[in-house]
Amino acid sequence: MRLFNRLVGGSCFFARLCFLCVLCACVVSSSVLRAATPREELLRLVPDSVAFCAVIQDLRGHAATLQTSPFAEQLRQAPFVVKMRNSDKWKKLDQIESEMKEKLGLDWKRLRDDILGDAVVLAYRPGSPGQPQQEQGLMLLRARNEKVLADLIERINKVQKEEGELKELTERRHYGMVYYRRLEYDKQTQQDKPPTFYYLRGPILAVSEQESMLRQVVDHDRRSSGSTESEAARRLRELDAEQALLAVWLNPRAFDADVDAKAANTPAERAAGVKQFALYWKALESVVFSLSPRESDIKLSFGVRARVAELPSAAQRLFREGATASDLWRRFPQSALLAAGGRFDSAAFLDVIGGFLTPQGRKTLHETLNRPVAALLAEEDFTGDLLPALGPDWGLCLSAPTRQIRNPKSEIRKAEVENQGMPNILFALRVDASRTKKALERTLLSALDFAARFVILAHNNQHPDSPIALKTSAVNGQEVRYLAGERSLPTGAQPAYGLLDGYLVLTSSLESMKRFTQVSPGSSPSSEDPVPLLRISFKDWRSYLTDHREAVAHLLTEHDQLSRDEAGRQIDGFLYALRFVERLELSQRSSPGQVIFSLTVQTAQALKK
Amino acid sequence: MNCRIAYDLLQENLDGTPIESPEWLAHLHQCAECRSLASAGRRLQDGLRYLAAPVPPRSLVERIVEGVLLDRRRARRRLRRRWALGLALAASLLLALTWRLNWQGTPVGSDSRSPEQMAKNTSIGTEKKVPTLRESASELGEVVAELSNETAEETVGQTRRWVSNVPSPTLPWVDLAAMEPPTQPLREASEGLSEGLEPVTTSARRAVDLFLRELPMETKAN
Repeated sequence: MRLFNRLVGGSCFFARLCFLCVLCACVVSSSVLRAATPREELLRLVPDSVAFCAVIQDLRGHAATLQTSPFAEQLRQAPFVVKMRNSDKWKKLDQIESEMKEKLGLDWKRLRDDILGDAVVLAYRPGSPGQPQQEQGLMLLRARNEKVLADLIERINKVQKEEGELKELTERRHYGMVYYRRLEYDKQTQQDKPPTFYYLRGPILAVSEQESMLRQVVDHDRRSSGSTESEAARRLRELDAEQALLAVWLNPRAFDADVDAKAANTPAERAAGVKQFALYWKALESVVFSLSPRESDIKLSFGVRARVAELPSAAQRLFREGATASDLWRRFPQSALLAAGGRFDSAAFLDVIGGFLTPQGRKTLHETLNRPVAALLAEEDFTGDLLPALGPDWGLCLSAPTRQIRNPKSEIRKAEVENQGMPNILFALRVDASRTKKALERTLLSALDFAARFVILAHNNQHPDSPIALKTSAVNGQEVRYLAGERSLPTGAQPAYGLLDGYLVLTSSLESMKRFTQVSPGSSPSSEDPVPLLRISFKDWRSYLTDHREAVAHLLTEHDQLSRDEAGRQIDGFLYALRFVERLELSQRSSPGQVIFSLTVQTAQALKK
Repeated sequence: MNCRIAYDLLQENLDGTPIESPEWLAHLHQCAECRSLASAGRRLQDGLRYLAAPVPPRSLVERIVEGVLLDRRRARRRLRRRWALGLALAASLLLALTWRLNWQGTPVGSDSRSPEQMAKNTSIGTEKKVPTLRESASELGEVVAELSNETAEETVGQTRRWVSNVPSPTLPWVDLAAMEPPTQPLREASEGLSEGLEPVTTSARRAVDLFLRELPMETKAN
């Protein structure tokens, strides 16, 4: 610090200049060093305008972490893994390994760690429109140990020559850089295979069946400055796939010519959809799929980046609405077996769909929706008058019934025990009457009353000895209706509906309706937070199945004619499978111009020691 | 012009493309064989004109559409199976490479011999042909694909069977035939979307094929 003060704060201009130069050099060199990961080294060599680019990185590191993890330990004990490890096929792998080791001097571990462990890239470029056979593929890998890589290639060439599979190996040059052409002979068909080309420089190997593709790699390698970020690397970084174990980038620009040709050549009656698709496609900048094992979960992501301003306004509204978390998540219990919800602008969605249709198709769509729904709701224009007021919040929740506390002194009736396994299901849809001039609440409730009475009429006619009835109750001071029928409905099941706190709620029991009105406190989520879309709690499924084992077994025996023992075995097997996973969540994270959907699978045991 | 080109032109002519080549006429003047073929072709066309045009059965269009849709569904199933197999293979290969060797301890009931010993013992007595490098690689792909299929059946298959056994709640059923969903416009929209996406899906399939070309699973899958 004193040195710093002396240099910066002192009067010596030369010292200050030197210090600034060193600082600049450090910044530049550190950025270069930072950029020079094995993955980026390879991505710089990827030729332009590839359509797909798949990257596998740090296989060695991930493998080392995973091997010692509690999850791997748990998996090792699993019956299906023990069975697999004891199978003849597993032993066959041993045999193949020993054959390969004898020929190539490498076992699986060294192959994984020394050859494939740093980074592998696969790139693909399609042929021009109508010429799919002009496609080009490329594989790039960066080995940890360049000597091992060079030895491996030498041994492959030698072994294949001795076995008569490698017919020719010729050296070629491009701007003085050496690459090789391999011509293999297929003994089965007794014909030459298409030649393969490879380029080896230090720890980097490039292989392609197309010489022009390989030459482009050589060109990139000659010109590569090392400081510029490649397009593929940038696209992966933008969509948060920089650290992923596996990432696949789709470059929409590689398909522009195909999409244009498609739009131009499609017959007029089908052209509307294709032209609309072309409009969306042009706005798309990149698509990335990635897989990232983390400390306690595995994340699968699907990211899309687009120029939003170029999208039709309906699509913009749809995405804007979807980017906000639904308030319904505060009403669903954390212990829900399954919960799904979001914000969905159905009117905008209808416009988006309409964009893919001809004017006649749009008219038919509106008519088909209006005919039954508008009749049921006694309104003329469902899509125009009512649809905009439905949503945007919607949600579905499946939860376990409240646990039965068994009192040893009182005997629970057999029928009750057998029926208590039915989980509660609830569907909620926001109703915003301010968006329409119609008396929406009354219209919806009248329609539901009509539907309920219709169901009751049909049921009571068929089952006069076990009738059901429509009853009214109050939840949190709000009127709700439910179906009651002791002998027709499972114990605890009371299909109910009503308008609660501005939501139209349909549910299988009054109990979950009461639970719905209990909003958990919590601040509104920030725009940076991921927006939840789906959540499945396997931990709660385990508890549910354990607690209601008898009832579920009863349902299985009745439905599938299984014996009690067989049903019990099936439940145990399923419970065992559920032990590996704790939770599954689908969420979306939006920022200007992009959205990333992530499926996170939280494992029961950590993936890292 | 030679006889082969003249023959090809004649074939095209029979398929409906008029011949506008003076070279072809010149060739017919010189070549008796082609001349007789051309004359036979003309007679055939004349004769066909006198035949009554076949009337397609009323259900032909429906049958063709049904056939095309069925074919498309089959193609989609094949594609899905190929993707699933490809992904399963990739995942299994990763898993196998990741975990296989570093698992300490001998598997329950497994053979305690080393891989080298096993390989040696397997070949003893049977005089088995030593596979080439490519054959070993193919066999590796095959074994990994089979292992992943078996494991998938063992885990996912069982779960799927179990889930399919779970009965859905029984509520009174009312047939609301009038509530016809807007299938036609939705199908139209999805067709436009899938037609636009076709170059991308085709390329994706070709890309997977390209990188898996050397593996034996492709033929097995189909």
